[in-house]
Amino acid sequence: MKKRTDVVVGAAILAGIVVIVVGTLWLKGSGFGREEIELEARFREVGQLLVGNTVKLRGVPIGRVEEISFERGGDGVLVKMRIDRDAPLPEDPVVILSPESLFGDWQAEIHPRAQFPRYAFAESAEPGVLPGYSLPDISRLTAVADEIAGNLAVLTDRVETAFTEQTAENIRQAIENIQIVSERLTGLVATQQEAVEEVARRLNETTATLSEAAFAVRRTMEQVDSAVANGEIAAIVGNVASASAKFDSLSMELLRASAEFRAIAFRADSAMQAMGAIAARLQAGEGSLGLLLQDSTLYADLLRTNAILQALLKDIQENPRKYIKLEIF
Amino acid sequence: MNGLWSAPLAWVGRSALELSAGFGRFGRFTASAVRALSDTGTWGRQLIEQMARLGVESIPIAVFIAAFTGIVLALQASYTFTGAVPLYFVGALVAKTMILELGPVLTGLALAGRVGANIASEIGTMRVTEQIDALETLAYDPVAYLVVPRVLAGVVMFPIVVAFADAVGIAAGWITSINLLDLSTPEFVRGVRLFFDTFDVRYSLVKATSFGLVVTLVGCFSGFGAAGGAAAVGRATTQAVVLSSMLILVLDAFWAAVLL
Amino acid sequence: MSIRIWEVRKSFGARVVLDGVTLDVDAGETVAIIGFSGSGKSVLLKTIVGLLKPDSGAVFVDGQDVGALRREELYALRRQVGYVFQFAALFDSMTVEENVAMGLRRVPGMTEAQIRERVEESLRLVELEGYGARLPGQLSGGQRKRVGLARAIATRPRYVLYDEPTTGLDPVTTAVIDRLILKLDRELGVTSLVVTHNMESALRIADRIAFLHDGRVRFTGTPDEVRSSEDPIVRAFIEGRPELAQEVV
Ligand SMILES: Nc1ncnc2c1ncn2[C@@H]1O[C@H](COP(=O)(O)OP(=O)(O)OP(=O)(O)O)[C@@H](O)[C@H]1O
Ligand SMILES: [Mg+2]
Repeated sequence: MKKRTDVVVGAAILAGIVVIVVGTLWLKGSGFGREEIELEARFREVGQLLVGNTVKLRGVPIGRVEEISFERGGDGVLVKMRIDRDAPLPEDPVVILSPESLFGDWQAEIHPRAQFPRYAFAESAEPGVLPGYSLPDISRLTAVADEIAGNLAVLTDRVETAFTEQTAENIRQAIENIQIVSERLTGLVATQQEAVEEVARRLNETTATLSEAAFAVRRTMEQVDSAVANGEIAAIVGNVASASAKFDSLSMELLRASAEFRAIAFRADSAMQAMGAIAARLQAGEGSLGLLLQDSTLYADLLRTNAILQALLKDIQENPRKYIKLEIF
Repeated sequence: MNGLWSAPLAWVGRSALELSAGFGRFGRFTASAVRALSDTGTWGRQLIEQMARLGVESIPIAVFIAAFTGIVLALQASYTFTGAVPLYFVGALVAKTMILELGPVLTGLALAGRVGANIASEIGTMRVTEQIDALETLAYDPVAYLVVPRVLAGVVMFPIVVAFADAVGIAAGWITSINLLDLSTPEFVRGVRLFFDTFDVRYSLVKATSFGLVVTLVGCFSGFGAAGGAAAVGRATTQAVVLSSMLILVLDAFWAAVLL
Repeated sequence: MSIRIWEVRKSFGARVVLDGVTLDVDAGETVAIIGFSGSGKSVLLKTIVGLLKPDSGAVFVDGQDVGALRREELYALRRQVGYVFQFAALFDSMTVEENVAMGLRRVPGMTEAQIRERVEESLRLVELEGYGARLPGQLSGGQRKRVGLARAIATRPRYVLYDEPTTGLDPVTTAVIDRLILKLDRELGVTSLVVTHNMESALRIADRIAFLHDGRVRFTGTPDEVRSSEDPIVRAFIEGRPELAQEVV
């Protein structure tokens, strides 16, 4: 009788401890015997990432965020992750932080760097620490999406009421302007003896992209007749028009600020790439505003291009000297 | 003027004195329990039995309460999370609430009734029937013999009981979710893990331990203070349950303020 | 090996129960305490083992001042004292056997077999063989009282304080218990104090009888002295005639 009580109490305590330990491990999501390795990445900032958030590879959860800490003696943030030893990491892996859903929970995704050439990853001097990049917060994205939607509505209105021969002419002019910009850039290169090879190569690419863009816009223009009726082309018109105007003045600024030529050329090159990407997308049968609204990466691209161009212009005008150090991408 | 005010003032004064005297007695009682800890020979024999009576036998009621709490949490969460919030948040809410608050506190309150009343009435009866005096004449320190094993049993077993309650609550929430809420197991698990932190478990267990201490200590104190007959035992029992329930809620707030 | 009660006063609130009680019990002596119900006999016994603290005065057992002992010393002293409670005070969650064994478990070096043997022997002395496995709730009042007696004497204490050991027992059992008290007294040299309402018992077992009245010891004497006492209140008590006491008050 007494002995039975001992056994019962012992069993209850043991069972309780097992419940606590196994329960905690299970809730943490770390199974028994699963081999794990530690991985570290460096970021400029980590958005809403928390300890315990999922680490994914090609969409498959492979681990959790272990620790988030300030980089000692630097301006970065270091994120430690525990992941499956067997997870097939890509070549030259980078870590991108992004919202996992609309509700505040974030994730760390491991990608090959080649997949995101335009993101400015926070490189680390230390070997073994992966470069990381944190996407804009969801609230910022939604605000931007909102703004873009508003702008598009306005544009659509305008196009519907004011799409005339004159506008078509403007578009043509705009495309011409883009070509002029590239021509002028080419000219500039010719006058810059230093770094001719490098820059020339870049400009060739740029020119190719620009003419591609021009071609794309022209192709799109052929569909204007049908598109006008439902105002689908409005965004393209607006963007290309403003882009061309800005390129126009950009080229003037470039001429003036030729001392900082290399940097500017590089940025212009990126801007062109972005433009090219948009054009390619539009061309690939996605040239409707409705589709545009559903594709957030497209928004981000649009937004980024816009912002880059505007900031670039403004900054070059205001203080061209400082500019060369400022990072936009 | 004088006569008008003196009665209520006297009442306030008397109540304050009684209250501080009560605190003093409780403090001395606790001190005697701590001192009696060294008397292992006296309480060692009792400990296992008290663990069985106060702990193991409390598991069914705790599990019962936790199961229904888990079910209700899942249903109410799904009722609240309409449209915008994804349904897998049900898992997060069930687990988080169960572990942090309802597991320890509801179990604590239930055991304040079950364990606190049991202890107070048993010890109170022993007090009024001179069984405690009899222990003294047989050279047993009644505090070491009666109080220490109960308090230790409470401190050790409450966390165990609460661990079961937490687990069963989450399991009940899970079963409800997959059967009544069109939620799949992976979704529920994802929600559960979403906001989980190991600290939660420690917090839950620390709370449970403190509740175990309070419920058993107050129960013993009330029982020892019983003087008179059956009515006195009744009063002691009521006092034990009311006082330990209140202290559980106060401690709950205290831990929330200190640890969170 | 003696009990000295010196000027013990004890009140509960405004009610003075003991008002300067002085009484000596010599080694090996058996003293019966008689007195009206509520006169403070039980309170006096409790002050002897330190269950109640006297407001003033002192109790010396074995030459030690009970009120001044440290806890360990007090418990050591209590091992020498058996106490038979007026209402038995059995542990109602334990069997009779376990009740009787309680004191024995505090004796260092006693094996489980020795304890069992001693329990049986003690139960035999109070004529309750075979009742070991029962719970107190399954016993009659008189049986319970006898278990309480068995529990008190199981450790073979040098002092035994009996609070009405035979109240409520039939005359035959009363005689058995009286004989047991005498036997312990004679054979083991136990020093005892017996509170009783039974004059016949008191006269049979006591070396001396003390009469407690109005918070003091009004009278002490041998049984013969009690029988021939002229004190009207003592007479009223032993003859059971309240009108005699009335005249004095
Ligand atoms: N704990 C207590 N609190 C308050 N009063 C008490 C307490 N114990 C005893 N008394 C009072 O002290 C008085 C003496 O009580 P006691 O039990 O000693 O009487 P007694 O002589 O043993 O009587 P009886 O022969 O009926 O057992 C009684 O009036 C009782 O009310
Ligand atoms: Mg009495």
